[in-house]
Amino acid sequence: MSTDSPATTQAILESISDGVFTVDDDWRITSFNRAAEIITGVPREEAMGQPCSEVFRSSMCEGACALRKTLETGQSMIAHPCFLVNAEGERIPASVSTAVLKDENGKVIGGVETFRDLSELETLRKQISGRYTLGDLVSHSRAMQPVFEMTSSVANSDITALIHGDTGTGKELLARAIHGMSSRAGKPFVAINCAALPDTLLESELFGYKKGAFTGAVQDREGRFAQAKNGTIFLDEIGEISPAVQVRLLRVLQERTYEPLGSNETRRSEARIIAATHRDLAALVESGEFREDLFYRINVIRIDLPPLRDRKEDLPLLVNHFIERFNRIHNKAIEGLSIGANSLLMAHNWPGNVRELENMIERAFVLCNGTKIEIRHLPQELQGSAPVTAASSVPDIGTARRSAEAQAIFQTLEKNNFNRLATAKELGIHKTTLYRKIKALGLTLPK
Amino acid sequence: MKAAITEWQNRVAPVFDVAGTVLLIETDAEELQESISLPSGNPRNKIAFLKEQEVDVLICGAITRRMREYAEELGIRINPFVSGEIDEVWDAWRNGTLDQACYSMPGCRRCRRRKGQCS
Repeated sequence: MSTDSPATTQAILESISDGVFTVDDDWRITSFNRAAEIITGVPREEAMGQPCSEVFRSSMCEGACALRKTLETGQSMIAHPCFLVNAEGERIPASVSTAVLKDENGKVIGGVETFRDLSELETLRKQISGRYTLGDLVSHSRAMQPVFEMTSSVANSDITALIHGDTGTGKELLARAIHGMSSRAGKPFVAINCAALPDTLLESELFGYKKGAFTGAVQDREGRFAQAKNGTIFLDEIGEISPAVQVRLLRVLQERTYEPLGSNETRRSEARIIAATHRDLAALVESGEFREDLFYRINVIRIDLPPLRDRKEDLPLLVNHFIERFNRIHNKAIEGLSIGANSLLMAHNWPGNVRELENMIERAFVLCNGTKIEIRHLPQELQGSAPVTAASSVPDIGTARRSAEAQAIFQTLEKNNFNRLATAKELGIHKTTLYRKIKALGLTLPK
Repeated sequence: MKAAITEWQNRVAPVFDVAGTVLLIETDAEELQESISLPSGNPRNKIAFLKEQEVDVLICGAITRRMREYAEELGIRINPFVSGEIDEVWDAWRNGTLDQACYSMPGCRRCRRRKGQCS
């Protein structure tokens, strides 16, 4: 068999992993290789003679067909990105290349398209360097993956969800993301912090009141449930509500009905409820502070937001995210953090989580007039020499120690022009101890 | 009842997720009616738009599973992976013969014969 015989060409086409098909001048499939069958899920016998757009089913077919452009201009296209929808309804990321097909006399007889399934590459890319975003939440941490995976499922349903996480982890952002991805996206999103209001006020805030219901109720006022309509109501710090409000809330969850204060008229709520807490609700049930029946109504599906200290690999991503945002808000052009400032951030324990980081970056923006945020722009508690004035400003002993250690090591490194051996000598520790500490503290050094 | 068929070059558009035009039809009307543009960008917006137009049934070409589930969640019945000339497809739907293999996209024929729908 000669190497350029049709049989050889056919064998080659059948053995490669890229999909290949050809079309005639009426856009109907004239050949379809084995890989094309696998990627599209369409058997060759069903593909032959059919319009290519109904076999290939790509995002380009309708408005931006690469093959059409090639046949019109004579120019080949290489590795054009798109997606296909296979027979199972799966979205397959792909890249497409096209060329004009000519017979032995050079006459154009159609076009040839080759395409590559990029699904595995896409997965790998996400695993290696992927920046996962969900609404305003950004992460590439493994610890956040269950959150991202669960969120789309939760958004696709109407069940009551409970978000659990320490203060500042982004519970409201996640609730907003769920709302934004759900079929209620165009409807209202109403958030209320149950811990911020005293009991009586919380009740009237949630359910509304009629004129004359209490002193000062000079006119009817609709509550948050009414404002939420058929959107989403987010009840933050649900663990803080009184037994009386728990009973009323239970009724909304069970029967979807409530009465405004001072009214006999029963209202119906179509709002989807998302609750959040930083407390252990099961323990509150155990101690009798939280109703068991309400707990089970709320805890249908629970999403746990990890604290920032458990996903420190997200710090650079979050810092960049906030810097981009504050550059826009404050009309500045800050490029990032100095190596020293970065190292202090890595050494910090972040008890206030992402909110603490956000506030810290915003504070630094106010103080920084250059292009880099330096150690001096960071708060005292991070620099390890905070004047202790109030209980709230006292960092825990471990954080203070790590922070002071990171600063001492970094300053000595800087002084010794980042020579590890000289630094270790000056600090009076062994070189390997220095390496171990640099790694443990997450210090980033110049290459 | 109102039906919608995504349209491209007088055939059912190949991929719903990127379809640009839809025909809206009152099912008791004799002839095909209004042709309107679908919102571009996020395919969820296309489905939300159809819901706003009070569409009960969507006849379309390939559609990603997620979009199909979303449409069904909003109460829109889907006839997915349909191919053919618009007039013929519409007649087939009205006559209850849309499940015939000749109206199915390649690769979806066996399953449509078996269950009436793909996947």
